[in-house]
Amino acid sequence: MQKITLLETKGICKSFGPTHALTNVDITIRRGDILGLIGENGSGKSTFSAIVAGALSPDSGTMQLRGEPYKPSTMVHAQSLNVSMVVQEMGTLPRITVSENIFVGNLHRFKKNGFLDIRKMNSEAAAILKEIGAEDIQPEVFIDQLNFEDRKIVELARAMYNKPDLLIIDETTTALAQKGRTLLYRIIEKMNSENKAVLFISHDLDELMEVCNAVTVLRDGFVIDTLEKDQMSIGKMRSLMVGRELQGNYYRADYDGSYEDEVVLEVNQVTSGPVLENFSMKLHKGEILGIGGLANSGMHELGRVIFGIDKPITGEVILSKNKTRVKNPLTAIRNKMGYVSKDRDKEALIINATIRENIVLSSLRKLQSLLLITAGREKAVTEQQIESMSIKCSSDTQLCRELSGGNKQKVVFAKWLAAQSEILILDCPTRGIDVGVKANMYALMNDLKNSGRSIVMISEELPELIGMSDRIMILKDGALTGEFTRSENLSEHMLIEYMI
Amino acid sequence: MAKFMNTLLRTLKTIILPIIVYLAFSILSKGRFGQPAGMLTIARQSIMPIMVALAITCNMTIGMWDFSAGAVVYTAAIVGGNLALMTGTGIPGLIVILILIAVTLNTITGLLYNLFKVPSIVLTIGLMMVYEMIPTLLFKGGVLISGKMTHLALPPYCFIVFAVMFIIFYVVFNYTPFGHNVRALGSNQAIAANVGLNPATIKLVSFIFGGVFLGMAAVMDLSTKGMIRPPATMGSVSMIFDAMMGIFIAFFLQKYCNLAIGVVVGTFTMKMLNSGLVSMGLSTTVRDITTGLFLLILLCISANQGKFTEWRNNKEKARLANEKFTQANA
Repeated sequence: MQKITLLETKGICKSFGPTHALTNVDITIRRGDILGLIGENGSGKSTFSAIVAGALSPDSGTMQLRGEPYKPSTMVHAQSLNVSMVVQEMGTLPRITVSENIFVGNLHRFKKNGFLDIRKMNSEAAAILKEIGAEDIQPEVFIDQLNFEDRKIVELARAMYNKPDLLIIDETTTALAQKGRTLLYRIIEKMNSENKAVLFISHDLDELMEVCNAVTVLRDGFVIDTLEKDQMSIGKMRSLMVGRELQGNYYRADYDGSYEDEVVLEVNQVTSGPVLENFSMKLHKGEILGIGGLANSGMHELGRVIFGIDKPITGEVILSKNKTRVKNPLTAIRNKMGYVSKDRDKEALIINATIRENIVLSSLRKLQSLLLITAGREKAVTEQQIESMSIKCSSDTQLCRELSGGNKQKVVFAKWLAAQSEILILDCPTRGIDVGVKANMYALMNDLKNSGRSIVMISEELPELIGMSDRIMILKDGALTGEFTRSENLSEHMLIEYMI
Repeated sequence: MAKFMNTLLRTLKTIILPIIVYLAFSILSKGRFGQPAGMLTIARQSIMPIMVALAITCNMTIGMWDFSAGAVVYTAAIVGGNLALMTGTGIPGLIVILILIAVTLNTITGLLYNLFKVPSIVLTIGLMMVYEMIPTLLFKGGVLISGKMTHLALPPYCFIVFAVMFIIFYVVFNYTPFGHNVRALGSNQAIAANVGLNPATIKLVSFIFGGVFLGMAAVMDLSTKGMIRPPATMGSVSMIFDAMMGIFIAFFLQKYCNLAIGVVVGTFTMKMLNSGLVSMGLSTTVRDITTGLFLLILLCISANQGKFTEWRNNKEKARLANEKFTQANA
């Protein structure tokens, strides 16, 4: 039987600065579809779902819903057109009740003589919760009293309130235990039986095989293929997700994964954050150690612990040279360590300060003479870095917020190079920067390695890990699941098996 | 039974702070503080700062500071008081005119906030200086009203005014879409905007709503004092000090009681603390230091109350991780 088209997107493009998140994305969702949307981190899945759900606007392209032009201005607008989404991050509002969370933005529906009919609101919330099989959640309790899973279920209730024709589920199952997953699958089945549609985003390929009747694969913002149920296999999905070759000298050309025997840093039995547990590793002089995994694998927490930002719950981070324990960033910096945060604008740069102020920030002790730091010394150090890093700027007094993403990242690197850091912790060092700057960054990392510096490179991009690392450690659920040495034969398929 | 015990426990936790302050000063002042007549006076004196506190509660819940509130009270009292005298409209005229002036000024503040998009602290300090100049320009000598117009400051009228205004605030804050939207916006502005709330409109309405209470605060202030002179530059800040401190206490108490009740308990506690220190014969300097320390301790407890739970959770996590590590290496 021919399925009826519910939503059709044509030529959807979306860029964030120099990064093309989506390029000419054509996707058709039909009634009765449970369409899986898969791809590596950064492939554009969440951007696409956010555009369909009204949280983002496309730069170009058109959408049609039920044959009519569809251009949602907000998520509420999309909801009113029967398109709802459960977001990847926590989407509930603290310090208000469950029913207020379900109806937030729609409270006017319960207005009676100017006042809220709270009894009616609670009773309708109870009915929705019952309908989705979560009657154990009380509508009048404060959301803060619920655990993480139940809060996600409240979001699901909010999404189901408008009886959506299209429900978008963006990597929600990772936050759900058995109870939540069962409930979610029941909703998906119901949507399917009512001839509605679900766009299901997940990294769990087994789950996608079980739940979806078709999958669309995105890679680097392009639609690669759509597989119908009878064409779907885990092997094929993986192959489509990662099918990409390393090109020319974009990454390191050599396959010599050697480094010195000298250990410069040891991580011993570290537990931190929600998932990282009993993790140990050693970093050698002149080594690029790649750390890979999914976003919630604990790898980002590892970077923060190594640099002393987060205090480990168990274990310790030791600098081998002088047996110093890294307790905080100050100890790390004084022992020539540097950290490039994943969140560049919030954690790595003072964006409202000048390039010079940012670059000299970690070197102030070195620039000091008789308790004074002269502007001349600051300028000399900054200009040297601007030249060697080819930072495109009007002057060293230009504000960092005025720079492009790639040049901002160059300033971050310059800060640690000016401080003569010998150990660098790089968390997603090429996130959100264009190909040209990426190539510069990779060349710089290679130079640093060759000059005996040691690098821990945390990355969500598998080609980057394979292309640059001497050794790769893969984390899943906070534990080491695989370790690989640099080799010509190393493929993304091999790594992804240990990640998912 | 469990529900009753829970309510009882929460009520006790809500009133424990004023009870401690009351008992402490009753003992330390050797009976000079805490007599029924004295407590009635403190209750009366608390009404004006409670009005100011209720006026800025919504703004502070959303995360906006309002340092212009005191200047609005002064301007409404002096300009509005003179207009009421000129028109001979008596107490009803006084109430209406003062509220209208305060609402107008707060509407201007809200509109400018949305227009300029500068931090509320910067905008309201600037506007405080502007508003403080208005009574000086129009009525240099201030305002002096007759005894007949001061009845609202006397019991039982002052308590009736308090009850009416408190009920209005309580109902609006807890039983209208506006109140719920304020709380949602205060929880997380990004998510609230994503689910369809309009932050600019809610913030503007919050200023307008606050204006009603500032107008009433001006009525109570003028009725109590009978005469008000224009403030010196930034002199109006002292008027909002007790109110802001009261709201900080209310934020601390809101896990045990409704925020509106917390505002009343908090502001009354601050007023009691001030009176208690006066009754001990302490100098202004010592009183200021004690008040500051009191608030500092309270905020420290409030800010760090999650630390103990976090420490306990981490301890348990460490135990489990160590157990797993030992098993794996056995």
